[in-house]
Amino acid sequence: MRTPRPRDLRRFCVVDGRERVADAPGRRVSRHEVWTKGLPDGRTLHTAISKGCDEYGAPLFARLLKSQLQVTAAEFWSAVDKGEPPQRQEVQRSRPRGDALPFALAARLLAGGMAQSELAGLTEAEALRLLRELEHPE
Amino acid sequence: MVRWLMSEARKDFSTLVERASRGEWQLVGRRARDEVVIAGADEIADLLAVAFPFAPEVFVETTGVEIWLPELEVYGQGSTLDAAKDDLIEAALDFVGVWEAGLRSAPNQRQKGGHVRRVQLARDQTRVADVLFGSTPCDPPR
Repeated sequence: MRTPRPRDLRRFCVVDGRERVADAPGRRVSRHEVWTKGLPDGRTLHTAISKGCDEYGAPLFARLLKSQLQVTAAEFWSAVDKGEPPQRQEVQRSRPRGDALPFALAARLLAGGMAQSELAGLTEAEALRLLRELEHPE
Repeated sequence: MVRWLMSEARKDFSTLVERASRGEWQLVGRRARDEVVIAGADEIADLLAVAFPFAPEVFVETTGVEIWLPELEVYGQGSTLDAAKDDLIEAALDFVGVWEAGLRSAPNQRQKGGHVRRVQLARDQTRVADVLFGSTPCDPPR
């Protein structure tokens, strides 16, 4: 398995449109570069690049792909080598565990007359907005 | 458990802290609503330790050592295990700062709160190391 160097990770973050956090808040000297990216569904990806490392081992790289980067190895290298931003179709199709609607919120929307099909795929923020419109129409 | 109105708590804050440090949780609020709990930091840390354990994973490579912390999704690297531990502690503290500053509002990051609080309560680097890696070294393999 081809494994990256820190500069590859940095290049990926730039191509992926991530934002660099200058230094972790409250920390005077940070040994890691921190990059974040907000996704359309409300999730935020966090990536840290260790300033002292030369290369990543395969097992660690696999975990970075799955959690911090949320792309396949092919998408990662395509971004690094060809400058192609990843599409993350696979990730966006699957609803993340933390993005479920709270029970009380879903119940109030349904009791207020919303159809179940109208709630499908809503993020919590969208559902809250809908509830406000439903309960306090202008 | 003792309930205090905000105005009473303000007047008698030292009593409230003393009781909390003895293990009696103090609830403070306005009117009938409890808003904050004051409790002993060690007790909270012990409770969180049970609910939010850390299980770091170590990868020994030819070039050095890498440690992955799945609970916070951060890693440390170094030429030795100790160097990788130090790097991971820095990474965890960096993550805690970023999380507190806003990352926690994201639905995929909110769930890390219990583990983040454990690191915050550790106060210094030695205690952070204890929280992340345990205070007793593993027995060497026979």
